[in-house]
Amino acid sequence: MLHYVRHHIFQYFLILLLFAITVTSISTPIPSFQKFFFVGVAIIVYFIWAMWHHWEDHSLTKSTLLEYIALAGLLFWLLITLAS
Amino acid sequence: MEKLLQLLLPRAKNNHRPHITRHPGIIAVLVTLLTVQTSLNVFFSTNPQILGFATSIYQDQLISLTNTERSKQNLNTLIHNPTLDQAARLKALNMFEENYWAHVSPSGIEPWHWFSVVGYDYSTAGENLARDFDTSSGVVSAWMASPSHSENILYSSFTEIGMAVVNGVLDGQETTLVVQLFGTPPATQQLAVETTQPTPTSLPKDEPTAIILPTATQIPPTPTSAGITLTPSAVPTQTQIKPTELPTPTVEAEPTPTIENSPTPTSKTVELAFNTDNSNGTVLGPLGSHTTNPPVSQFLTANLKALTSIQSFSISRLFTMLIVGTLIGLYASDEIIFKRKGLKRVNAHRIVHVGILIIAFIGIWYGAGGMIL
Repeated sequence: MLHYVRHHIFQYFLILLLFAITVTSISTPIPSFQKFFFVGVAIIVYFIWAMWHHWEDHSLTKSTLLEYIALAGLLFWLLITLAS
Repeated sequence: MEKLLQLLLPRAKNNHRPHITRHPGIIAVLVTLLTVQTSLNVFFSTNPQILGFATSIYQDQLISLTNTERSKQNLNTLIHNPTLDQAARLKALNMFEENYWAHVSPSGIEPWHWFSVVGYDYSTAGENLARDFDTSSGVVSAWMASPSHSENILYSSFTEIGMAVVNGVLDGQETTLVVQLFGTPPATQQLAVETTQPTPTSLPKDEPTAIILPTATQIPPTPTSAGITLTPSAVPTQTQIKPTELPTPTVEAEPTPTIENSPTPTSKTVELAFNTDNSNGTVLGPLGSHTTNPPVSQFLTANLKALTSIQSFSISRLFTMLIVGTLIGLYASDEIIFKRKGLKRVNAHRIVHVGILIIAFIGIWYGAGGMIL
């Protein structure tokens, strides 16, 4: 159980780190296309990570899939707002 | 009422999970955001009098705020010099022209080049830069938060100030550049030193003197006949420039305005004779005229446009932050209520969702700030 928790915490930490880096990157004065590129990559990585995470956890359901699609869309919009 | 509670709070009827944190709820939030943002974009893009640049930065406010900071330290009030405004504007235009964000242009043009272009004779000068800010107070606050920039603002020997707030495209992004220039005409250098620095540390008299101030570029004074000596600052980040390398400021058709008793210049149009050729051979566009203290009608119109502009910008950001903040709050309350009920969830991925939303929220919050140099 402890290994399970640690494993998940590590994965959560990585995904939070990904977004922290993304937000920091798009807050710097870089060309817009680079910002959109970073945002796009971060969202795709996030979505793939989520699917893999739930698949590995045997908890990937249609509801989960839809939830992550919605959340990825929301995060994409938030980051684009920030980038622009 | 029950439906609202089910939407927002974990209850038995919603299987202890608020509807808004399920995918239909998140999609609804996303659609709401998209709808509001699209509506704002359509509204403002079809409204021709609204600026594309989202700022409410005003020259007068910047000068006033700068002087307010100086007055807090019992320093002399800087006098607004339109000639310095022109130099600042030239600098900003050059930054857009050569697409750089630095005190020195890629072609090597240093800040004080613009002083000589407009014919501003100086003994000491300085420059602060800012970009991507929304408000005048934001700019000055950021400068004051930076030790090097605040040292410029609070430098006692400066007697005059000029500002330019110019919109343009830098690095492919629409932005607003703020250039703040400080100057001390040679004739007032001695007076300023005598009144504000009665006991300067003397340097060897046969050595050229230099004022070394922070990152905001400080231009060392040309040695004056009065033999003024100033103490080099301990700030290490400044490059000292030999006076022999400095361009010699020349007084052209428009003499450097002398310091007047009135701190506010009278309303007039200042047309400067200046050389549009810089050292790199780049010709900047015509400056046109600079008007200080415009008529009330113009002032109101300009403020109305800027107000509308900042509103279009802020509404979008504030609405986004409101939505994200609400989501974070709902997720948090969900967890708290859930734990109080003694229930346990199998997975905890929503904690990550909250974490990501918090990161985005912080990013949007701090993204409102610009950069200084």
